[in-house]
Amino acid sequence: MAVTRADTLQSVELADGVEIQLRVAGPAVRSMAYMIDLLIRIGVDILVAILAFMLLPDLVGMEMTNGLFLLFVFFMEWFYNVFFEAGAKGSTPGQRSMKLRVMSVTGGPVSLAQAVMRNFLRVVDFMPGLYLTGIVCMLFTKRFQRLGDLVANTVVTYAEVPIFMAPHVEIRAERRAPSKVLTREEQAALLQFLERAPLWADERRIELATLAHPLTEAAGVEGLRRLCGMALWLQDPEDKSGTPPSLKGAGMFRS
Amino acid sequence: MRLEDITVALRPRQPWESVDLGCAMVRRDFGRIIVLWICTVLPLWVLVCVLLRAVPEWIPLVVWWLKPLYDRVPLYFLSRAAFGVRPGFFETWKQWPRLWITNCLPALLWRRLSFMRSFALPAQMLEGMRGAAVKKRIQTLATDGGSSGVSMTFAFSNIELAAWIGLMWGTYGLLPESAQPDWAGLFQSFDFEGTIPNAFLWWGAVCHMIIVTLVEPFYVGAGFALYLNCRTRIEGWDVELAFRRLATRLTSATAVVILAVMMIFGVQSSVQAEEDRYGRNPTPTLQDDFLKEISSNLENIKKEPSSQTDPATAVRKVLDEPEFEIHKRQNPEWVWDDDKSKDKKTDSKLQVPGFLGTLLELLFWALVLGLGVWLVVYLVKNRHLFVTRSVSKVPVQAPKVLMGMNITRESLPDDIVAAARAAWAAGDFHEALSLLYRGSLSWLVNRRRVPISDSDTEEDCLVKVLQAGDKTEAEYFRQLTTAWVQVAYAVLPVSNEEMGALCDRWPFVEKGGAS
Repeated sequence: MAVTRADTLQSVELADGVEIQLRVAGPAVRSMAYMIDLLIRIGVDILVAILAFMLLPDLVGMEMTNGLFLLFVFFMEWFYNVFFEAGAKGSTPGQRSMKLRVMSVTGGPVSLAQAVMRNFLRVVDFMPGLYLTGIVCMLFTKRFQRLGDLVANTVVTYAEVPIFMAPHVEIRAERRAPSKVLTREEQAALLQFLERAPLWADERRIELATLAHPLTEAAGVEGLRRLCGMALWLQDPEDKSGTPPSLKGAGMFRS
Repeated sequence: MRLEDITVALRPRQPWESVDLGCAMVRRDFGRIIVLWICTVLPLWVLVCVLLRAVPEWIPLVVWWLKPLYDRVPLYFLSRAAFGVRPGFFETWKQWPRLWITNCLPALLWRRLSFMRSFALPAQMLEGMRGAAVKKRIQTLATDGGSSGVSMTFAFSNIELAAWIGLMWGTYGLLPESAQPDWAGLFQSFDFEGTIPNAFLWWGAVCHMIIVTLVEPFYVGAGFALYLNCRTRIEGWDVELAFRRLATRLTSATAVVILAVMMIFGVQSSVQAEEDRYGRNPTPTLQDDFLKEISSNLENIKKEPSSQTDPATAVRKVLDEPEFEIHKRQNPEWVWDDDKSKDKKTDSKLQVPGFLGTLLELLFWALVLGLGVWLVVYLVKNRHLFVTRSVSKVPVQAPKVLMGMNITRESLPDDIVAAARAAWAAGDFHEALSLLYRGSLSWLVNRRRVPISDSDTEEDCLVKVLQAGDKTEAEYFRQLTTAWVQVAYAVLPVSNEEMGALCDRWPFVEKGGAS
């Protein structure tokens, strides 16, 4: 079926013909990051208000304190995001806590101009109230961009590639070269199988291994053993461990 | 369900990323989902509105409470669309009653407040589980204990609330005044019925429905994607899909053709062995046909003379094929006629342009030099435009006439105070105060360099003096200005004591000198 697969990876073709893939982040996680930032801002504002109105009126007078505090709130509202997004990490504390960061569509860090543009346009995204425009815009654009992002050519992406932490297991299978030439995707699938098989039940492992019958040319436990051997070979074609230990049926995965 | 037909990119994702995947899935089919929504949910909404027409403030709450019902049709559509079969409108329409009735009571009663509503829904609806089995199944699925489902619900309810208030806020100004609540009265008396008009409540209900229509499908999609992600993780769907494709590829015809090509280029393996290896293949008949073909190919190769199989000859033969013919095409291109001018340069008549060139070059440099000189002269002449003016260096052009009064030193008598006293004694109060005022201005402008310009009024002068002068002078000038304005404009008399004080305290004299 010639339907494009729905995916969260969005590929961008750069000027020199290189294609990169962005792990764009959607409205749900971004709204959480925004909430955290909002709470931080309010907290800092309250703290500064308490300190300022305790200390400053004696020094500079009440009206001056008022003015200074309003100025501070203004800068917090307008430059909090600019300051952090144009900084080295490219993310506000809220975004960092949700493991997000702001990027240029080309995959590079945002410039100061981009950060200013995308944050000053929050006014437009806020209209007609509480970011309604921004929410709708994010839900219906491919890269989950709000208007400010579209204008400044930025995206919010996940900052880290997830590391899959499989439990460390000893795999008792003989390293062997695959009998057929495998494409990259197939090699990746074999490695994924080896990595994640410890999480699955024995039946499921054998079921999956049986699916790869044309490759292993064996069914059941023997197929599983051969498949694991091929995956081990893909991981590291050189056998350094000497002679492999004896094989014992399906109980190959020992935690 | 055939995994091969899946229209979603499977890969173990972080929970938030799979929520985004759900959003992408819904966005892809939002048009169809919204049509189904309008046909199934809107009638219910109208029914609720009719039933609760007396108490419109309850409509949003009831609409919110009934949400689990709305989720089911979009979920049905999404789950089918994810596996490549988008159900048609009538197909879904027929399923509608069944979808709403299944598991409807627990969903609307004790499971309504579950924070994992949309994540648990696929387990209830698609796997057909009931009661405690659902709970157990969810526990199995939620590898992170369901916290991703809960935080997703939190995020989406925030979005929904923000969008609802935002829409109300944005459209508030468009409402007629009779529909706007009387906020002041509300906060004074907390009398909801008297201060909030029914029209406003109805408008709130409509806005709520619009926002639910917009956000709820995405929430359902996100829950479904989270469910898919969990199953992908714990059942290895992506690996299964890759293995199925691998099997299809290896057993398809292309693989055998590649094998045949390899054989032609001298892979010496016995056909018998191949047959043995393929004998256990799941599709033996197909394989047998291909193997026969391969073996007949091999026979042909063996029959042909050895020169034919010589690689060099084979390569030459292949290169002679029409596919490898090198085509040539001529494209006329406009090129600057460089060579011809070179040719002509050797002719004697082109010596003149060379001389002309030197002349032109000289002219050019002269022009550049001239421009440079002119620029320097221009800059020097207009340097005041570029140098920031500093007050101390550039003398202030002291005005000679202020408010129609001549304030030059020459126009005033030497002893101003004496002249003023004389005028006062003669009964000319206007003249007396005018003398004092002009005298003080003259002093301030010429001696103190107060930056008063000739367009300033009395008020401006006073402000500038207060800013610039020392305190006694400024204070005196303030009193004098008050008196002067009183006499000159209001034509009110000034008392003798006041005038006397003004004359006695005259500060504008040289220090040490007498006047």
